[in-house]
Amino acid sequence: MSVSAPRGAGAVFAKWDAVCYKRGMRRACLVFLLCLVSATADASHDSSMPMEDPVVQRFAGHVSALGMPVGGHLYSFQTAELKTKYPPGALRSWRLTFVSGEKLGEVFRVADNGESDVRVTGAGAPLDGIAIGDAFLIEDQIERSVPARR
Amino acid sequence: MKALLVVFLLFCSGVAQAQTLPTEVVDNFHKALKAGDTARVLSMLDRELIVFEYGIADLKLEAYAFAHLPIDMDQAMRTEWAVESRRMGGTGDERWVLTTYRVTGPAGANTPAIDQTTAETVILRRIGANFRIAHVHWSQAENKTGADTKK
Repeated sequence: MSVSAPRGAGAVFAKWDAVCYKRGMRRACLVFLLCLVSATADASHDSSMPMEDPVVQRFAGHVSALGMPVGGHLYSFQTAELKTKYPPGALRSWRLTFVSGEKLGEVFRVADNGESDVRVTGAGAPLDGIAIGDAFLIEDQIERSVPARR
Repeated sequence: MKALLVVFLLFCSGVAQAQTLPTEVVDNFHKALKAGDTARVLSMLDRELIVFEYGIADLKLEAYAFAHLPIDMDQAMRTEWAVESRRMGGTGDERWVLTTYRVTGPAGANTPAIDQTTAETVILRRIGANFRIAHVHWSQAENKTGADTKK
């Protein structure tokens, strides 16, 4: 059986391969293809959806320690996960929603954050009742319904 | 007289709230997801919520709210969910709503365009005067844009 020169698509790929090789672009082509595959990955409504395009900037964490009460009420807590994720002041004015514990579903506004602590604004209700381990989301969202101070 | 009017309006409001259909709860749930209103979403979920999403199970409300709700809100914000078909049933305090949606959305910088059919099963439980979502199960057909999708 004689081996003939590649035809059709085979010929095109062979030519393209030669061009890529000559220009030293083979590795670049591979990287491009890998990026393409990555970009067309799962777009489903689930946890494995790529998070490279977050619509809302968000910090999810747990309460690791309670802050010092002010006037008998709690307005701050510590969260170990904050370190390295957001610098001090980055969460200012963001919306805080507890997603577990006694305050599940309650909304607050962040007044400021340090390296590992979060303080909510005194304009709303205090954090009285939160406990170590409670989970929360802090989102870069305007909050229109922060509860009034009790 | 004014006081009577206020009482009457409050009564009407209460009746209207009590008569919220399970399908309205499901629609409101999607609206809250799209609005990114975390607290509103949580207010519609039963404390015993179980969510199945494409083979992943969240067996607690807290687990869903912490891990997957944020992703679902982001996804809802960047897509449109148009109802294709819907059936509802159940009796008493337990109802179900089965819906298929045509989900479409543009490509992002790192995410592909979306054009797919998503099937949704929602089981609702009456808590007091309102129905709350006790179970959600989402699954989807192939993405018509050609992007890989999970089933």
